[in-house]
Amino acid sequence: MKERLQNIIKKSQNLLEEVYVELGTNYGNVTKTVEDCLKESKSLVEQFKQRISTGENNILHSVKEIENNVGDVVEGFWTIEQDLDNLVQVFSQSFVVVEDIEKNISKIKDSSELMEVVALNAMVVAIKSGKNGGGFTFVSESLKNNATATIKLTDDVLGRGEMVRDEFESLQEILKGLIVKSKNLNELIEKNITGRFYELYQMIEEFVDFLENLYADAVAIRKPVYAIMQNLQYQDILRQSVEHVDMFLQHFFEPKDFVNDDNLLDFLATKEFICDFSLIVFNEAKMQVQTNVHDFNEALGDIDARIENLNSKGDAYLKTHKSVTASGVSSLIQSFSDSLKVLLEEIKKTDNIKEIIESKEQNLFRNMKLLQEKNNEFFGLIKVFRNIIVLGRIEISKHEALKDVDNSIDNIEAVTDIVESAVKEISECYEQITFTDTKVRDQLEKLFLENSLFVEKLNKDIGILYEYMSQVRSMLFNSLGGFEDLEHKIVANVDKSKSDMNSLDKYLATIEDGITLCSVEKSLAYKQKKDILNSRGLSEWIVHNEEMHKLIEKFTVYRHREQAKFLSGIDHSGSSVAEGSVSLF
Amino acid sequence: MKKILVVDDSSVIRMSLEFFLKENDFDVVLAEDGAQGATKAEAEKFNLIITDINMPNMNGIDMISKIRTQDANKFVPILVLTTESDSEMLKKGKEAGATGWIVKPFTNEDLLATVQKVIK
Repeated sequence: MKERLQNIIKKSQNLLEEVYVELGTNYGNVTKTVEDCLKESKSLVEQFKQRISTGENNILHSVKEIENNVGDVVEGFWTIEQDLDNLVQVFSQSFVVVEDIEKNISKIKDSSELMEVVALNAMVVAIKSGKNGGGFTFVSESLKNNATATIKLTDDVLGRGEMVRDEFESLQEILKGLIVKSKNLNELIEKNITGRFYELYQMIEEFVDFLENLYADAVAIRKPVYAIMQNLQYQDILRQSVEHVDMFLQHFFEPKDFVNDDNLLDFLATKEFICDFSLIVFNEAKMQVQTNVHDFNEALGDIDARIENLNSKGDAYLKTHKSVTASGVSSLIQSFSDSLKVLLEEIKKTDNIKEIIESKEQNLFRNMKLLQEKNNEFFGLIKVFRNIIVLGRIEISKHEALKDVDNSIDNIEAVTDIVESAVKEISECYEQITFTDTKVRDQLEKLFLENSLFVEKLNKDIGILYEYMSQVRSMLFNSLGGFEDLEHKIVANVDKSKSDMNSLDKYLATIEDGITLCSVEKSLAYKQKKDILNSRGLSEWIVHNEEMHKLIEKFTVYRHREQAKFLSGIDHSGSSVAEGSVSLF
Repeated sequence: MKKILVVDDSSVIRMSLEFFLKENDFDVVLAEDGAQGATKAEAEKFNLIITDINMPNMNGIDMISKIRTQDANKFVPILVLTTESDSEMLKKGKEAGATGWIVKPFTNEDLLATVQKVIK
């Protein structure tokens, strides 16, 4: 019996050590894997958060920068729109100036016609004066010819003026078209870019939330893993308990050769005690291992469920947010790029308009110059009028008969003054138009320059954002990869643990052998002891073995020490503290 | 990071404690018996020593007594983690210089709370 029991003890000790060391190492690895992966995941999540939320070179900063720049562009276009409106206003004012020119020209024409009439009257008076009016006939003819030339010039100027007005009108139309385009561009930006930023913010927030959530789930895997680690301490208690049995076997299970009539009852009672105590230990070990197996399986199931949950969460996220994680960022960027492309094309069209405006404006300028030259001709004609008037007055002073035309000459002088003032006014109008034209040209130059600067800035920012978003994607995938790695490692360890558990079944089978053996041996010993006691007329036999008592004192598990004392009849009334209790001194 | 010396002859217990304490941001050094524990305690400065009682070479009580003779370790907290719940043994531990006594099986929560309390 001793050898068989010793084999069982040895086997169970080995199995116990093997299984628990395996489980311990295995779960040590799981724990280490969990911790390493969590640390890595945490650092990735932190990096991710840091990247998007702090510092100058981050995604949110970049997004904000672009948002501001888009805002600048929108505002810029709005300003352009306003400026264009102002230009149209300026052109309207120029219309008034053109109308002024027209009025003045009409005034000149009217005056010239009046002069023609006055010249005819003067001619009639000169004819009536006969020989005496001969000198004045030349004056009146010159006057008439000059008036006719003035009328012709007014027609020319009027023709040019109409051309200028037409050019003004066409320019105004172009500017109005530009305003419409500018409005459309603003709408385009609003629709394609501005609204998308909210989407981008949301997407980034979702990234962070998901990663944090996933991290929290991964952290929760610790719980069942630590439950397993905690259960491992029972191995230590079981190991010590089995060692107690082993101690007895080593010391007291003497071969039968040494048993004689004197020590037979001691031997049987000791054997009965050892079997009893072994049964207590084996049953306790069996129960503990069964509890542990149950707890381990529960913890493994829990880990499986958590891993499954982690997996399905990750999968579901990737599935439902595939567009966000995989192509979503690209599509968003693509959308930005597309909007930008449209924007650039529209702006390019604006460049064509710029060319048209420039050519129209050059045309206008050329016509204005011609108009001004023509106007200067008026000054020549006025000079002639003045000379004619001087000649007329000389002739009048020579001949009394011409006194009657003196009033006509006064009228002619008055009309000449009017014409001169009209011509001067026209000159002023030309200057005003030339000034407006230069102003318009400068303003347009400024607008187009601003426009291209905005676009250049926006283009650069979108490039930066694209780069950041690519980093976000790779960080996200790294983080997800970290969690996936964690899952694989844990699953591998869990599978190994499940196979280790089979060894615990072997342990239970060994313990069952021990229980059976001890039960049989105990009954035999009891029966034998009872028979001898009956034959000797005794009712009970207590082992008085000092060595056994000393050995029991060496038991390291207090509970077993007390149980052994009880079984062997030793006083066991010592005080103790409860298992699991904490005493601080 | 606070440093803890764990002395236990059971590799499983050493492993379990090491991971649990590391998880809670402690630096952990391991020793397999009392003699090794006393040597390590003398060589390095620890914020806490956790020891088993029943170990080969030198038991926990003797190790505590030895450590308490080391100048640097007169006041270092020492927690006993054992299957021994006899009041007499507790008394011996206290006399040897232990700071506290935890009877196995313990819960991680109780252990952590006690560690944090004595390490303060």
